[in-house]
Amino acid sequence: MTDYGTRTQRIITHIILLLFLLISVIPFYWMIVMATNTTNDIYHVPPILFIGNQLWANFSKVLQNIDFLRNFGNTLLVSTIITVLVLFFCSLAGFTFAKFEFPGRNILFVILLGTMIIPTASSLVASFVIMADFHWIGTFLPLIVPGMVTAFGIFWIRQYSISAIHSDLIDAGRLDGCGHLRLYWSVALPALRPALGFLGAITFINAWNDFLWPLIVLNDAKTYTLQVALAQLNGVYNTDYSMVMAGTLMATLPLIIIFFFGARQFIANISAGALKF
Amino acid sequence: MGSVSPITLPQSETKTKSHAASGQQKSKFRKYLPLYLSILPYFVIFLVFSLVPIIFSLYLAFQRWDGIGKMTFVGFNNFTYALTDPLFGTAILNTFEVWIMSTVPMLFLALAMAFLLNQRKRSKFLYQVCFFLPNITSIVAVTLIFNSFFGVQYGLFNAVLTALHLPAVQWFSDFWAMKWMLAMVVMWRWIGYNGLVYMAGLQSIPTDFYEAARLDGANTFNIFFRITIPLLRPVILFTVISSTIGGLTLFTEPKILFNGAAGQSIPGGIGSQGLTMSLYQYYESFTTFHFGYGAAVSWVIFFILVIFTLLNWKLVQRGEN
Amino acid sequence: MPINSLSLRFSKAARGFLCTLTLFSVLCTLAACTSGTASGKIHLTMWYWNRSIDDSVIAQVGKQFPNIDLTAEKITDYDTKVRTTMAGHNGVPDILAVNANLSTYFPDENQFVDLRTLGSDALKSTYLPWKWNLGTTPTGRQIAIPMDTGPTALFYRSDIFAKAGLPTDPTQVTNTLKTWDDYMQAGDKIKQATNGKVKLIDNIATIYGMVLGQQPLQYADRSGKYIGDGGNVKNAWNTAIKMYQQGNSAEVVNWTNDWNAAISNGTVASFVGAVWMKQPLFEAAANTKGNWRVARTPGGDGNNGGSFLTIPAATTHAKEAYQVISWLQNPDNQLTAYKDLQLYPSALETLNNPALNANEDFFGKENTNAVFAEAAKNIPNFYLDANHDVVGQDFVNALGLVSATNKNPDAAWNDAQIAVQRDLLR
Repeated sequence: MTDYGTRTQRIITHIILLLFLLISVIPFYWMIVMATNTTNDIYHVPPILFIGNQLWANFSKVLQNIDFLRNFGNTLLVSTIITVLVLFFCSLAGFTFAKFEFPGRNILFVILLGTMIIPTASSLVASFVIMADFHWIGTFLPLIVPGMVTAFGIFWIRQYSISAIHSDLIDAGRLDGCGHLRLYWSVALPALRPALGFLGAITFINAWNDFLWPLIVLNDAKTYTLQVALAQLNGVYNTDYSMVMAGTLMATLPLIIIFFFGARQFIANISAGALKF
Repeated sequence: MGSVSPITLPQSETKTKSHAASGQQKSKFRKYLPLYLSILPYFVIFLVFSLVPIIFSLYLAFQRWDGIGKMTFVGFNNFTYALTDPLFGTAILNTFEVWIMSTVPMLFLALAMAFLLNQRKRSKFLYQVCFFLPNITSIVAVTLIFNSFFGVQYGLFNAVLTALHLPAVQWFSDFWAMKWMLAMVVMWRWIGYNGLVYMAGLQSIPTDFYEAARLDGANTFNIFFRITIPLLRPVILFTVISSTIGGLTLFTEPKILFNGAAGQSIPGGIGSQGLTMSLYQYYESFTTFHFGYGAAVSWVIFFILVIFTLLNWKLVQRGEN
Repeated sequence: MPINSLSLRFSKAARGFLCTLTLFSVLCTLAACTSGTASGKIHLTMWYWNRSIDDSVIAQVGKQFPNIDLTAEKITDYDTKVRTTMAGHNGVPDILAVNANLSTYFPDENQFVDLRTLGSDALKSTYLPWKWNLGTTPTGRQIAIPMDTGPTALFYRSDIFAKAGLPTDPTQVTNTLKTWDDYMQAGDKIKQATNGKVKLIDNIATIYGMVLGQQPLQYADRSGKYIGDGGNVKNAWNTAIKMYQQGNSAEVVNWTNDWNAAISNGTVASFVGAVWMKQPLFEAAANTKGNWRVARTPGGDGNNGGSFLTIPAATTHAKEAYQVISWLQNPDNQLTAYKDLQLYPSALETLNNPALNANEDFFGKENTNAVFAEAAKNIPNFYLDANHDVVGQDFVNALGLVSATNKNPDAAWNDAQIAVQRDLLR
């Protein structure tokens, strides 16, 4: 008997999980349905519910309208850089906040939390002016630099570190003469893998799907990210939803693939490790 | 890593004091420098890219400005207008109602989901990817799908209700139905997300805790409340705080659900019953272009959020000490 | 590991990071700059949105004006981007397309070039007068030239009309349903013939907008004074309310599946819409092909939608920009845009061009252009003020409460007036 609980318990667990699964997947399935049928089929009453064969036809319309590959490359570059930077800076800061005492630690952390709530939407104009002063309009820097370390990420890593990183290990490292970066690298990072997997996935997805800010700071179609480029497909009076969905699907699939193979490294490994504890 | 006694886990924070005492041979400056350098990047980025815009938006809150023409100083007018605007009052009330209707069940269901999934011994990864799909699915797709789900006369939900001989629900005009619809979409989009947070948190709990409890004859229910919840407390605090902030600044969901035709869209739907504080702020700033007023509104929202986040923090952290 | 080497590593990492960032920024700037160095040509930037200008026409600008290098950028979330850019005084384009909300830019009219200084008076007589005048600010400056228009018409199901004993031929329908009252009486006949299953109109918010859209003055007079507490607004309100009270409205909201379904399954017998509603109609109700017809709008012709081209004052090449915009919207190019993108023309020569005519199968081989072209020429001069959209919202909101929650119409009207007063205060 390695599995927990009784047989009925496991069956109930399974059913509940499958229900969650179904609810989560349906809208995504619907996206595939729309991307693989024609717009007329979507408007059809009752609507078509099955995957069609129009994906390539729809997607080739997308290719006629936007430089998909280039926009894809831009997005991949920007999202990857942001994710790497966020993972590094947030984990270092979060670990430090959680596991070390230094003068002003608590007040700095409260300030950091406060910055999470501070309204930023109405300062769009001011942010734009700053970027213009830096001559960064039209480059990727306005997308990367302000987002390279976030209060959210630090908060998350701090909370996770509290119970995931054992203080004994830090003490032991200290006795061996390890400096701060060494402790971070060899004690904190391995223990933080599941948290980093989550943070990395969230950061990458948010960067990938970011729309309003890239729209404001990018002007040249060559520098557009996917979301900005895809938004151009919307008409004013009427929208070819099949085309939009085909574009959106092609923009989303890489996310899922990256999430599947990227985050798996983090999450799956630690699950295996946890059993050996 | 295997040598650490599990009992010390929850108390790890108090133990850090010993680090401070152990560094006597180094000067204070050299001891603390790496620590400060570690947290410095965030504060630098914040100072350069957020503080200036924030000060600007505070200045803007006292001006009348449409974004293009000249600014006019209007004193506290924007604030008095905001505090006396019935529409803003509706928005505040709606936000809190929807927040309670969505966040409480959402966090509970996410925790249950994570706990159940964590019991599974075989691969959980496919589940994790799928639970995350609502967060990845494009907003346009989400809009279209919920449009066809919640259609009043030909929507899927009402078709099912009618088939069961139940009365159809006026999703877009019944005041409570509008809020439930909103809460349902919020839950749909964020349960998986919070579930993943909890799953990550659960993985920091060594399985021998569970084994030991099983041997002592504890059932699933006991394990959940006696071991899982206390050990997850920091992560739970994180989700409570971030979903409070997220729930009280709810924006995308009401925007996509209650967005009608161009030029005909009522912000927040019929009677503005789906209008949230953030949507109100956005509408004032970027639909009617009252930038100064929008800035004032965002500061009012900020103060509401500060109060609530602090309350939350106190409530959840009380058990921690 | 000794602390010294560690802190060194830390700063090394920091330096390495800064170097990478700098290098990256240089690369990005270079990439952004390479596009802007055409030799000796005048460089112009134009912002527009998808399907607002024909891309094939834009592509010919280089041929037409060898000295001009035009970069046309498709922008989405248009007004947000335009306002932010203009507020930041950075990267404002030389040519800016503006949608039907042009009047919201009137308070900042000095941010746009007065096109009269570039000779726009010579163009005036070649466009529909009412459309041209929409680009004239209250102080008399001309800040925009016309692009497309949205003349309205009555879209109706001839088979349902026949069942109800109503005329089915477009000309006869136009002559029978002259006023909104005539139209409502037709609704009663439809109700009787179908046991109340089929409604006359889709929703009252649309009808309200259409009745008001036929009037020269709507929410404000030309001095900017609010006149929406009576007159034309009250009249449009009453018409909409009456439609609702007599059970003539299906209350399906535009751009929803409910609307698509109602249009497709024949529970809505007609609706009033602009010429660009053809496409949504084709998509929603392909199965009803051949049953639809188009007649003139009851109560008079109106307009809904349509856009403009402007030249922001920030440009240093106003003259060249003007050459480009007047060429882009000349009669030939408007004809191309109509054929490619169904953008309905505003140039008189294009409107009179027989090439617009076509017998459309969807409308039972009716030449609908005959209706729309006549309507376009017959629309009276009307004036929209800067607060038009904001104020209009309050009335649409109030109508929504009446139709969806059975709110007392008088109370709704009074609440709308209070909301408007507050909106105008800000």
